[in-house]
Amino acid sequence: MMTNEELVRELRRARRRAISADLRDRVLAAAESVPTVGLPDLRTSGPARFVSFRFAVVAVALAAVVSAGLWNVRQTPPVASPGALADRHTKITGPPGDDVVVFWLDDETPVLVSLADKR
Amino acid sequence: MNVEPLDDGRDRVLLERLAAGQPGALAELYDIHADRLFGHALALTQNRADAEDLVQATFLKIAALGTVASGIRHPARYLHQAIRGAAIDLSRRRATRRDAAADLAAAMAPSSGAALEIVSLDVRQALAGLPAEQREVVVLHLVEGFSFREIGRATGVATFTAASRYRLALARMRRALGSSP
Repeated sequence: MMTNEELVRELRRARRRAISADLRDRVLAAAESVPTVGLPDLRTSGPARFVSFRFAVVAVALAAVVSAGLWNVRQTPPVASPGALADRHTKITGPPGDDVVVFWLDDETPVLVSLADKR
Repeated sequence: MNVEPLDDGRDRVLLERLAAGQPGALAELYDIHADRLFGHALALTQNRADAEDLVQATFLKIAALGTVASGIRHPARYLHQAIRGAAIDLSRRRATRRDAAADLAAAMAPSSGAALEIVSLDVRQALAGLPAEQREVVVLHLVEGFSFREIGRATGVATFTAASRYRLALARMRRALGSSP
């Protein structure tokens, strides 16, 4: 009846069977004629990878700036709106005694006020 | 042949030399790792010729990597994973063409293919009767001196799983040897 310790001791004493002495020569001889898979050399492509990384950073930053600009354009009211005039109202001269002043409540909402009505 | 201790830093330098096409780097790698890999392969296949074929295939695979070899971070782990993968491939190829007669012959064959020189015939037979993944852990731990963590990394399982396989293997061997658990 073998105890756990005896079993481990027996296994620890075990030695693997020796590898064939000529296997080394066979492996090295065969390796000389093995075609390599030839992926890019990671060491020599290091600078190229760094350039690519910098390019990616610049591209992302540029894309961010362009996106922010487009977003800003969408959010900005049209500059050419009549409401953007400095005094925000325009006097339109009509027939004598019938002038009209255009007040802009906002950029797109004109209110026409006839001066004739005020007289 | 003496077994060199595991050293990823040293092995990475050798792989870089191999990637640079320096002759001799593969030979140095062979001298460092061949014995352990052979022991691992024997544990899996229990057949000397198969184990040597697996060792040869693994080193040829390394040689074929060319410049890619320098990208391997843990060479010893890579080599043992390669041995394991090659053993699994071999087993699958055989399984597809195995017939009942061959199975019977293999089952009745004496333990001539035993991987290890063990004095006790009973222990050798008990070891040979283990499932391959349990036998692998026992041999790597007790014969090759791998920690369970190293075994886990080499075989692609968690450290706990490797330790558990070892415990189950010993229990199974003791049962086979007729001892009480």
